[in-house]
Amino acid sequence: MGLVVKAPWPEALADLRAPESLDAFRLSLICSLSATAIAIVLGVPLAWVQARMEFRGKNLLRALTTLPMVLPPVVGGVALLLAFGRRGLVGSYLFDAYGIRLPFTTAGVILAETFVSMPFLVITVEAGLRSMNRGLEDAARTLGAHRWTVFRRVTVPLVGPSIFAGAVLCWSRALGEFGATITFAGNFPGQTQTMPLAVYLLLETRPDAAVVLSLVLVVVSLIVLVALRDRFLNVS
Amino acid sequence: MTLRANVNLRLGTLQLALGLVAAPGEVLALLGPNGAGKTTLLRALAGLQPIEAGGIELDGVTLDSPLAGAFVPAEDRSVGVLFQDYLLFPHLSVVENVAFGLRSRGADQPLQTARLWLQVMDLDAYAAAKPAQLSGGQAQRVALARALAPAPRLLLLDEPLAALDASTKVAIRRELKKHLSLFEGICLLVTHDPVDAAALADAVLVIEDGRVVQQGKLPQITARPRSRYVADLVGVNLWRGQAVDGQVSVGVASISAADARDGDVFALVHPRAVSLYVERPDGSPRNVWRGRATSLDFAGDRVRVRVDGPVPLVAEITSAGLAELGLVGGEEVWVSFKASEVDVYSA
Repeated sequence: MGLVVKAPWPEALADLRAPESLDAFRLSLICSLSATAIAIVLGVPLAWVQARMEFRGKNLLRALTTLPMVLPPVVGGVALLLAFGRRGLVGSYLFDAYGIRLPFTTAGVILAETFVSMPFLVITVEAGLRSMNRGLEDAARTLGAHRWTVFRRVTVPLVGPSIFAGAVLCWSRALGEFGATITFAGNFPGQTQTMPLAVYLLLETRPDAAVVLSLVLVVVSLIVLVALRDRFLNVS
Repeated sequence: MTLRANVNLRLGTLQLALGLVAAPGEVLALLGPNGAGKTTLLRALAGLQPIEAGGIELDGVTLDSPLAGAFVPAEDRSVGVLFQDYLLFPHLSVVENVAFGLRSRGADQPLQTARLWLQVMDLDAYAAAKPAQLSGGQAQRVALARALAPAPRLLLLDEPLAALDASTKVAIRRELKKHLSLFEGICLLVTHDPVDAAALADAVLVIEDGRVVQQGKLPQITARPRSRYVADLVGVNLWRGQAVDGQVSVGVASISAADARDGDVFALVHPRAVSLYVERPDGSPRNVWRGRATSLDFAGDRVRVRVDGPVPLVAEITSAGLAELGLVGGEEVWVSFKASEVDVYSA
């Protein structure tokens, strides 16, 4: 509400059309959606492993999975720098062998957002898998379905709502990501400057534009939440 | 084509140790109380639960043998299972449920074959429906079609009628019998209901505490119960004890029996052979003692009276007899039955 009152409406449109705003908006969408896609691809199998398999070190794996949730995002960014920085453990290898540089690039933003947001998806999907009727998987097996077929034709469709809800949580977390992104990927307009970073920067120089951009974030989040609510009601 | 199984495994407090042999075209019922290990046995046969010792062999092929290190997983066994709660896939249509096994086993034209099965089950109209839209009986037929469609050599039915209400049970039992008679493989049926076993099975295996306590045709089993469970099902008094010179010792007391051979025996007395009196009865009966009538169960014009005493038992008398005795429960009564009414057979 405060944002709506404070918004300098006449100049708002001009601010929105400014190239740096559009860039930040575009970058935020691309990076948060990419991070969500990667989180689904990696997170759903990870959740399955945690929910269905018994092995030593499972508790350690689960702790590692949820660590980014409790870690201050800035610390996560520092950890990413140590691992994927030019002199980092993985980063130096990536650069020497393939010439790939992650920090301070758009790919770095996606990595930082994935790192911070994936736990939300993993935890939601794991809970869905645990509450699912295991008997249905047994039934599929007695019908000749091998592990992958069971996963694809029974498990995934049945935990579909959990995957969807987890993806939404994951996406909204990625969209709002600030600390890890600015630490690991910096704040270069057009390359790594996402909406939250742009808002932070504008607040120093042009507070009015910052308010308008914030308002855009609020509207986007609201639209998504309302759309999802309908979707969830239809599912149930 | 035969199923030979010798299943030994421990699961929680359950210790399963039993063997069975079943031939094709035969329906074998596994009858027993809840928690006896029937479902666990089915899971072991289906390959969902590995055994710890023994072996499972179908048509001469070893499916599970811990000693030889052989284990064929569920998905590679030719076994169809009708689960107790059917476990239809809620996200798939009826026809896709039936086609599921055909698809995963790589059959040609799975959908067409599935439709044929739906016709057999008289369910063509529901092909596109979701399982949630079906009645209990319809869901059971879909589950049966789904289990039968890939043509398994072994069919396992886990309490196929338990989830149905009494009014539809009779018709669905008849229907199920028809489909089972057309099945050419080996069929195992788990139930806790002797009526299902009598209607659907050729032979019965009574299972208690993970062990086979009795096997054979149902009439033989009920005529000579060998466990408290079967005795309660049939509604007779059964004791196990040592017989010496026409006396069967049961706990602290003993029962006189007319023709008891010495040794470890079962003694059976039908509740109708037991008489109740307010005063100590005169005359020939050898088995007379005093007890307390603890509960009354009415069934038509007859009443079953549970009497606690040196040997707890159930007496069945007419409601007129009950009125004469003036029993309402809790009174002291005299119990008597003749030695010639005691059926004794070796344990």
